[in-house]
Amino acid sequence: MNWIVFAASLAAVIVLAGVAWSLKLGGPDACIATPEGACQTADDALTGFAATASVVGADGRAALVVDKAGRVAVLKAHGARVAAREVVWSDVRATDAGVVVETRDRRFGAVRLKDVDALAVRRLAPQLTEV
Amino acid sequence: MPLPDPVDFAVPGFVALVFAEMVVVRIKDRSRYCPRDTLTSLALGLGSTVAGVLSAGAVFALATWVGQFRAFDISYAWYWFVVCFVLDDLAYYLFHRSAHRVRWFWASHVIHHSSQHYNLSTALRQTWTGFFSLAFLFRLPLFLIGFPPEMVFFVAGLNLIYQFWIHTEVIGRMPRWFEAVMNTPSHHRVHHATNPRYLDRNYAGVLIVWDRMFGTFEPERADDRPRYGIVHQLGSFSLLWAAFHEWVGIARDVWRAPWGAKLGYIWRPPGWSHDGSRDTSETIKARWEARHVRIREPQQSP
Repeated sequence: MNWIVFAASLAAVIVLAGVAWSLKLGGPDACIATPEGACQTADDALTGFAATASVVGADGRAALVVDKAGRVAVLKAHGARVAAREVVWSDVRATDAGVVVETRDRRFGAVRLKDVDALAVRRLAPQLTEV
Repeated sequence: MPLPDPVDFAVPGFVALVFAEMVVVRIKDRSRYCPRDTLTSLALGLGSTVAGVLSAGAVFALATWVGQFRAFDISYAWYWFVVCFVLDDLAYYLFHRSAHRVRWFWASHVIHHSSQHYNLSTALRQTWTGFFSLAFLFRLPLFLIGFPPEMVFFVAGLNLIYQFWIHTEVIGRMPRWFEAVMNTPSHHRVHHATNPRYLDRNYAGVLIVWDRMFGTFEPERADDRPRYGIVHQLGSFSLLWAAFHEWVGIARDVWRAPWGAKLGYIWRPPGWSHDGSRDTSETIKARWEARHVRIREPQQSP
């Protein structure tokens, strides 16, 4: 590799990324369409997880899922895909803007379920601790 | 005998094919690409090229030094290129299998699997820490046999170029004879999948026959569509985190582990833990198989 190849490669990176944006690749922003879809995604993403119920944020970009053994998962839209983390109930809290879930993973970040209130979370898993 | 780096000549082709795939995806299914993911993959690819250039001198010097102890003097006749290509592909299989089964090598290789997408830009998402991980050790036997370093690096470049086009969902299956012998998009989709059935399968570079020979082959199934990425998805588009997160994880684990378990976090499979609190691909598969059997064979009522 010489400087010309490097410069050309860098230009190609920028051009291709620009093409991806201009073609509007990635699809719609709301990628968690239904509670059933959220359950399936959690089951697929976490070993041994057997989802029983979920609640999806109003913007379709986050969801909270519980399984029959009391495990809890949070999902968030990650680009055009969905990423999951197992969390503990004590990291789920209600705010004015919706429920916020801390993942204890700085890069993954906290996840906000838009317009989901504490009542919806209690309905999700009444047997678990209060939010 | 000086030989060119074939990858330099292939780069324009890579760019053209990524562009073509984007156009096809725009028509068929836009979610197969994500602009931020693509930018991350391409930037990681560029960084990998720079890292490769920085370490190339040391790797070539080591290859030349090892070559002093070669068993044979091998010429540049065309058939030796063919033999070298096949043996290099076998060395790649061994490297790649180790890269998934030994956490030290996985820490370097994981970057290539860190995208949740599977497209031609994913092919370019390559390691920054290959030299540090000592991945070049797997090619040393070729120099000891007597293949000239120039020849080995030339065929390795061809191998890398071949592996580019198999990173796509646009191509379904190739003709049966081709699927039987060569690594294909279908076989490699399995390799990139996190479905329990597909974990740690299809390590081949060019020839899928190595997987068939060594018992690591798994065909793609229509009823189990691949889901891509890694078991613990990053959930971040950070370049540095993608490149170094597993190294950070190793450092943390070694620091915290009891003395007798520290080395296990380096040389045992990804996911291994001294207290059994984490999942390896074996435990994931076992749990999935147990559940699968229960679903297929519901309990009989007395």
